[in-house]
Amino acid sequence: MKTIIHLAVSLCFTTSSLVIADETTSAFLKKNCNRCHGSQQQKADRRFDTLPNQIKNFDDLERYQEIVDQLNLGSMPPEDEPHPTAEERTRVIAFLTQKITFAHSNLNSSGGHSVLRRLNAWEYRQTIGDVLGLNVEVWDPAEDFPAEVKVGGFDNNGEGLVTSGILLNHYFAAAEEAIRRTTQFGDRPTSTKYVQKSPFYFDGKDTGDLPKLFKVDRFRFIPETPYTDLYGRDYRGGHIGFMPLVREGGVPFSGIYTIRVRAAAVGLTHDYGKALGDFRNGDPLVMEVAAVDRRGSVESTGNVSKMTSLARVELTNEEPRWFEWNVYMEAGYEPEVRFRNGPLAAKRLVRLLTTQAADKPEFKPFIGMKGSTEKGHGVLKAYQGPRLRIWEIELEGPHIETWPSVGHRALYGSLKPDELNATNIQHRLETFGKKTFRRPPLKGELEPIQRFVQSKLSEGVEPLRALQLGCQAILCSPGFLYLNLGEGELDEVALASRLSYLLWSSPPDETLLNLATAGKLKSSLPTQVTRMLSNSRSHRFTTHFVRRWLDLDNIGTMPPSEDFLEYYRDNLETAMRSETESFFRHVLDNNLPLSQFLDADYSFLNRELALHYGIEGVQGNELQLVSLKKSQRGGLLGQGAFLTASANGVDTSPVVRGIYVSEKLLGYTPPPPPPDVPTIEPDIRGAVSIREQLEKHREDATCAECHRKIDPLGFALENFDAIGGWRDQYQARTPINSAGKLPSGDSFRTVSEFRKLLLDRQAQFKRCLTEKLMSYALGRELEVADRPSIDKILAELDNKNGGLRDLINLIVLSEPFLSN
Amino acid sequence: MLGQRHPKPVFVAFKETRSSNELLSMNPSSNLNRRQLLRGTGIALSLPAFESIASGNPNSDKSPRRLVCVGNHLGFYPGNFFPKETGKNYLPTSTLKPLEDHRDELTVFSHLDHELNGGHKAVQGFLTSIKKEEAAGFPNQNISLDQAAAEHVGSSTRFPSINTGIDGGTDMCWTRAGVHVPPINKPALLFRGLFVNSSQGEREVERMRLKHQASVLDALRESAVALNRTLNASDRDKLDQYLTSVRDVERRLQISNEWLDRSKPESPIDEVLDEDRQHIDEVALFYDLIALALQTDSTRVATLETGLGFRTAELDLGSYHGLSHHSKSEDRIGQLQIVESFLTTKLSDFISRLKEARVFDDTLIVFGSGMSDGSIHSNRNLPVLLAGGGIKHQGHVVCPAEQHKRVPLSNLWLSVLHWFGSEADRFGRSTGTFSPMSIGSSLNNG
Repeated sequence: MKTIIHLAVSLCFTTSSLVIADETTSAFLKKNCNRCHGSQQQKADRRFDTLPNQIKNFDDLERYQEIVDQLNLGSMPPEDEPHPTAEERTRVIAFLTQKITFAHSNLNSSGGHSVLRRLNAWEYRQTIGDVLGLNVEVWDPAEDFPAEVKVGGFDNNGEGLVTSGILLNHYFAAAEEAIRRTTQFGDRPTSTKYVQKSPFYFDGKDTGDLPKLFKVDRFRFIPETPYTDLYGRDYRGGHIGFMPLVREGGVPFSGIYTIRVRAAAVGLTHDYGKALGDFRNGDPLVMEVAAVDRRGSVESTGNVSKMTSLARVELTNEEPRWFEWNVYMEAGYEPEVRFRNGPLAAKRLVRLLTTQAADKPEFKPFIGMKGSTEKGHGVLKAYQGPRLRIWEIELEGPHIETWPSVGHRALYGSLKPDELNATNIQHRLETFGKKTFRRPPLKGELEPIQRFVQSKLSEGVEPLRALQLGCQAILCSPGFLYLNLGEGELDEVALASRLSYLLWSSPPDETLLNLATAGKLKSSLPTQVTRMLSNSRSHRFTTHFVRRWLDLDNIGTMPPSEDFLEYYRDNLETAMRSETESFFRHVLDNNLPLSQFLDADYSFLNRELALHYGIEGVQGNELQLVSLKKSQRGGLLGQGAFLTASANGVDTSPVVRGIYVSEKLLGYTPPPPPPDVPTIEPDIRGAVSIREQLEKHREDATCAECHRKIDPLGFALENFDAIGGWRDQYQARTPINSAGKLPSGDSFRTVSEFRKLLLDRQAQFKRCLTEKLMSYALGRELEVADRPSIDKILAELDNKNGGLRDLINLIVLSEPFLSN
Repeated sequence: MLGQRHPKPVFVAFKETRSSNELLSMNPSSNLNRRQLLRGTGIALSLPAFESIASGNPNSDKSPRRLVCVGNHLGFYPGNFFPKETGKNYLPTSTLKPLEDHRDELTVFSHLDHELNGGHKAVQGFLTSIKKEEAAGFPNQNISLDQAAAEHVGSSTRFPSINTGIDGGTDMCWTRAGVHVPPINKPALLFRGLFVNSSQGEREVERMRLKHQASVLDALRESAVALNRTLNASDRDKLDQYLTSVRDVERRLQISNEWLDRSKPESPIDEVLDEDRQHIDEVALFYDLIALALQTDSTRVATLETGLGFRTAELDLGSYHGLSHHSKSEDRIGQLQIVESFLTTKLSDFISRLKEARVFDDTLIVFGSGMSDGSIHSNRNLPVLLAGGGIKHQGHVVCPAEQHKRVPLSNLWLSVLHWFGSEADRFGRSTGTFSPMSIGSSLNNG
């Protein structure tokens, strides 16, 4: 599917040097390849004796390309077969590469053109956010959109992106809501200060309509102190609401608010032992501030229908301190403070303290007492373990910088609803159309929408509503939804879009468009890349690219088994995703060589992730640069996200991991297994190891052909469990053997040795990453015809000993990027 | 192969499964495909029995045909699902035991699948036979069985289909455009859709919205045409998708308009409120709501999906995904058995419910999974059973297991579609129909 097969274009090779090259190649294939891939046998369905000297079509081209790839990788011929000399091999690789390059320029490719591409859900979200100045972190307009089809892991492939009635309906709804949120005709909201002091729980007849968390119960009481202690974990008895807003239905306006909490952490060290579950003695207490929407919620969900985490902080101070944040809150949301790493649910805490810590004198009066208010309150009051202590919570805002917002002005300019008329509405639609299309609208593109608005006006629809309907229509029109980059060499305006969707996942800003309009963008690309990468919007590129390249969504869709307690307790998913993103960002920002992805002896860890990796001494919940010099880990191969995304949350398979390593790091996707192969059945009863099973599997020649390339890559990672923790044994207590032999014959015993072998193959990795980046940049799969451009980029990168930032620049300056 | 026009389907009715299998294995070395083989033997072929329904228009039927598709992500442990015996007198396996009351009205199949690989990623092919990545290569993309049936129903009911699921479901339903139809996972929302009428005021707002949208669609079409003129052929194909979508929305608008002022049936049960429920309770609740929806003819096509995240902790078991990786551990297989029996018990209750409502004989239920044994992530030999529909059920039908004789599961799906009244001449990867219980005996195929 990757390459479109074209009708043969006949070519003549006339020069004598090429004839000699052809003869050499034929002889080489005959001697080294055709015994298994010839008239007698066609292992792996490959046959080379019928390969014509002249490359007549893309099919031939691909077969030759594969030969070159295999020779380069050193995977063919297999090690137990006679090998060509290094010199012969190199010579044939060179001949074939030249032959292929020559064929490229002669074969007419459909390639080079990224098909008219719809914005994917991710880009749509960022685009709506940037165009209308909305906070789309909190409100995701594309939340309910159907999932995009991924091609080669990427969800921005024009061929793969489908448009449907269902999606169009979503566009209508999203556009209507986006415009509603953007419209701000009211007066500039004034800032209000709300204050809530301890106690945070209430009693008596006024509490009738209040959500449960405000009410006194068996595990909540009104303290006699000027502060209130939180005992439970998170929303299980470890959270407090904000009374000043609960009956108001949250804050009246969206915007930036200041939240202040006066708090302390007491009882960090305790001697309750296992009664506190997995709480690590001495850990700081994590206070989380969240914005919650209680509208339409029910009690069993904790009276929260939606929530966003606003901030977290680790507390070790025993004396009260003010903590302050400026955060974005949506209208209708209210703040909530939580004890994120509280040891246990409050209810369970009381039960365990009176059973497992029953010998403590403070609990004596309550032992044997039936579950009652007296018991609950008594035990919690006597308890000396970790408590999050809160005095006061303040909320102040919104702090509005510009009113009305950028988005409002994009829709209405400075017009008031009663100033709108048929003439200025048409003008508004033109301005809005131009902005949202990222290019001047074509003749006839905007007019139908203007006529539609005109007809609504004459039907008697009020002007404001008519204009809004028109803007909605613009946000649902193909001019907005599709990136129309034209054909052939990109014009400057199209280039601006391609560049900004690569680095920002959203439309070009004014600077880019001005440069493009003046015809100066192409000549200032490196400067612009630097500027754009230093803009915070570029995190969309790093996070989204990494997410797609390494299939990090596997982690969310295959949630790890609940048996991995620490995974959930320590919030490892977030930490490990951030580790890999930060690592990529670090390599990019410092323009480090690509080989860092294979062998960097450092990474970005917080305390929990470090402990997960068996590294002691890291303080704090924030990611920080940590040396891995004394660890088995290094580069992507040792990162939690890489290891978790290549497993399924429950167990690991060398085959699945092997394919993952091959695809993600070496750029080679093994063919799917032929139908009806015997399956490999995991067996934890200890009878047969996975290694033995795979060895048996490989006795079958057709299986062996692929598995000798796949399995070693996976076995190298066998010491890592399904969430990337180190293990020396399987569940059945059988030892793990992570040794293996690459198709080239190079063998390794440990993951560290494997990493060195991979580093020897870093050229292959560089090519792989370059191709992935290029594919992401273009929104299409690469074709054989793109190979010369990739070769050129890699050669230049090597020439200047370049790093990741250089690579981005080379891609942006390459021919495929500059044309369509 | 895809480009070829398929000849008119032939209906295959096995009189007795065992003998048919013997016939099928007569010529194992043959290179003929299964269909040719069936034709060649000339024995297994017979025209379907006509059913005693007169009218050719299902829309005017007094008792219309209905289809319910139920899918589970993590498969059913084969050792506890498939009976050892063939035919009507099979001994119930532990997973089928809860269905004993209905054994005469169901058929279990062995050795049916779509020849897909990919473990979890291929489960979404259960009702489609095609992975979404491959959808572009098929004329109807990866449309699922339920959506194909829903297209046939059109606007005859308020909802062409009702797609429900626990949590996120398992990506089971897909439209002709290759787009996933997400399941409704809130019972209260479904209840409101089925039974709660909107107020006069709300209806007026909705009417205005529909009216505006209709004229917006015209404008968008014109705008697209202007863009279209500047594009090359491949880009135009892409924009065609947009234009098709516009037409699709127009069609939906029309249906919405038609139903806007018709009042909804009265609910025989108290309003289902929005509250946090256990997954195990939601399964029963969704089945009940589906039964009501069928009974009130609010829809004729319904689905229910249970996914990877089904909370087995509510049955005091380990995590479902963890259990499915049983790795032959007896303990885990034992726990899996509890989940799987739970699912078939709820199915059995649903069947009883439909019988009480006297719609069971007009309702065909498809039940199964796009995975067989979760521990090996196999998408082969899928657990599949059919129930109801007033057809001649056969107990346990064992299809040929050999590679070149296998029956594509799509053939069964095609027969189901024919039973439903569709005249489609193929579905997904079908090579013909497959109907050992004469289910292909649709009204239109004489």
